Amino acid sequence: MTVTMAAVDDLAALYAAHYGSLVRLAALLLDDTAGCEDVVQDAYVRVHGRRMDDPDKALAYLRQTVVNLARSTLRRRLVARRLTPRPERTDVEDAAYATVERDALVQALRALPRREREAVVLRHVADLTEVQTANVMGCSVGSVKGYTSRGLARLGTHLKEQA
Amino acid sequence: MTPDEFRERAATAVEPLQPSPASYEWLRANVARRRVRTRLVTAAAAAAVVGLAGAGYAALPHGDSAARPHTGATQLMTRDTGPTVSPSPERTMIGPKPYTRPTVAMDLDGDGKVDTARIVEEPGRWGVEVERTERGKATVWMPGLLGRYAHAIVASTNVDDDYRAEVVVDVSDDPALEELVVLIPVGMRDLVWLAEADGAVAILRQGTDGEVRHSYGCADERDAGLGRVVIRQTKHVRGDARHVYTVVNGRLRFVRDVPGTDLPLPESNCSV
Repeated sequence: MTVTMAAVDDLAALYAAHYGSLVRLAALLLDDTAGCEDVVQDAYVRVHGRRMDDPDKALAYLRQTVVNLARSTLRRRLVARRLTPRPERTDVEDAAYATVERDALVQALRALPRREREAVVLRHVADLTEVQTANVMGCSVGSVKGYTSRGLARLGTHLKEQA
Repeated sequence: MTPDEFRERAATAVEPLQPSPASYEWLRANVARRRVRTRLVTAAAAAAVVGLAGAGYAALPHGDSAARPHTGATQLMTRDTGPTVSPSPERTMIGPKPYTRPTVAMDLDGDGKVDTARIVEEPGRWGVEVERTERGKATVWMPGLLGRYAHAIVASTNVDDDYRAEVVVDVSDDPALEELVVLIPVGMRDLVWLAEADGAVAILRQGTDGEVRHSYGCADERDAGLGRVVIRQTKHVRGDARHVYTVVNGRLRFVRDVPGTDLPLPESNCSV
């Protein structure tokens, strides 16, 4: 491509590029989907004030913040308090959240130990490499490999039991 | 469970979660709130510093005993603004392609009411002026597309099968070639362009350029997780098809071709 980027509106561009996918990522990381949008909103608010020339850095920072906030229920409660009141969800949105909650895979993911869930989701949903996953999780590459393979095996077992 | 199996099931599981225009408005409100809070904290800190400095000054002994030496040197604090950048000259050569600037009706925010969009120009830039039924006019300028002339809004339809229309603009001079920029509505007032992974504008080519025929299509439906879609742009040169794969941000799914042209349907008439 010969045309270079000049952001129309950084926030709008960042929102359009990643917001939906990060909400879906948070929904897979959290114990309940209700708070996933709060977490992503807070991540965006934090990244917005920063100057980043490399768009991938913004995404990496957003993703890291989502993972950090997803880890602690207490932290998520603090996030919710910092935000302006959430607009009321429409019936369609309520139905979407309920559908995700009922999904067998989502339920099986919630039964996994936290680090296994994070490793599996970051590796295979966020498409991070093992090194990137290790950086986000703050552990070694070897641990990521272990968490991922154990997590996938456990998921398979859970889903078979549910079936 | 294999990674591919997991990936596919996870994508399906969270597929229903789609951000609404209200999410973007909420985000803007949160960003504005944070800005106000930051300003208040800064103002409070500045006031505290001034207060402390005042108290310290009051505590100093005043009079002739505290004469200070003058160094005789004055350091000028200047800010280097660098070379002056003049805006690119307005493009005067339109090329052989006819261009039209009608106001186009569409439903940009998915509220079921008719909004309008039209291309507007100023020296050195062009943009899209959007008028929403109940929210008035807003112009979104496209500074990254300087040097590209916006010939027309060739489509104002819902390309990706969500509930809002996208604005598709042809930026090619060549009558036989369309170079399409897709502008996606965000929230209630903004448009952003379909971008490649590095932020550059993604331009979709269809039509002929000399002996080369261009088309675009969807190469990979795997847009789970971080929502990146791979677009395949194809150059057909003397019977040989050469593919270039471009990863774009967002979840734009071409469920139909871009209408308004007599060109053959692009290969994108598929589910991605």
